Amino acid sequence: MIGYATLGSNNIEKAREYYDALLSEIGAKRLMQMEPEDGGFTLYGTEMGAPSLGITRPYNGEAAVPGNGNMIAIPFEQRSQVDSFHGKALELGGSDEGAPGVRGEEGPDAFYAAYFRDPEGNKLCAFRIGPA
Amino acid sequence: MIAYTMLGTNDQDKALDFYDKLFEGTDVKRLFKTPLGGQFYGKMPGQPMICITNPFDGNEASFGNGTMVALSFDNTDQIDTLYAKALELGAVDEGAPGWRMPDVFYGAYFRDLDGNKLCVCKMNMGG
Repeated sequence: MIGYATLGSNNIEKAREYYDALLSEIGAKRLMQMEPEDGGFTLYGTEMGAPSLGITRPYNGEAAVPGNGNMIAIPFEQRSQVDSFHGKALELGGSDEGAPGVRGEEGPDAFYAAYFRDPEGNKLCAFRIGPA
Repeated sequence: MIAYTMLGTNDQDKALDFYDKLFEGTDVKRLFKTPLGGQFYGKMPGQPMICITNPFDGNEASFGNGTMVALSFDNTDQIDTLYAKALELGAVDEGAPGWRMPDVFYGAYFRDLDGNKLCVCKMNMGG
């Protein structure tokens, strides 16, 4: 049901650098992009037709701001991938919002997650559901 | 690559009522709740979902600018219906249904009761 989700940016070139480097970790690349003077909408995904992530200057031309309560969650197959994705997100200039670890109970359906904000404050989550 | 996205609300009961009614008649339904009472909606577990929730930090929910979730559906009639229903339920218009990219992207835009921007769309983009 999710076609794509967008995050706002006030510096599309820097945002592209950040997401180029971060999302290459999960095999996602730019699928579509507009010129910076046209808003710079940049769509990242693993393939056309799968849910994708867009970075853009706001459509209304005003400053981009992150919402509170807004978050995008990216799934992983292994906990070690969550760790390295979170590490990379911080290394590239993101800020920590919660270190990798199990939220709730450990077990076969454990929710292992890590949280961060991109350099412009948009909140993201990397997670794996399953046993250690 | 997206498992779910969350949208913040300051009045969870009202927000859930909005989304319950909006999705009525589609194959999107309530799935499960978060420990904080956030409600996940989706077609089925394992597919991308949205979650309507109070913010984790306990502060007021705010909608971002530049932030949007696009929900994709199978046909343009459904987009027209969802858009009209959203406005009827109190959403704010952000763009009437239409082909934004001929034969490729048909979308309509609105903000929910908390100001979160959504798009309902039909995408012909392969996959």
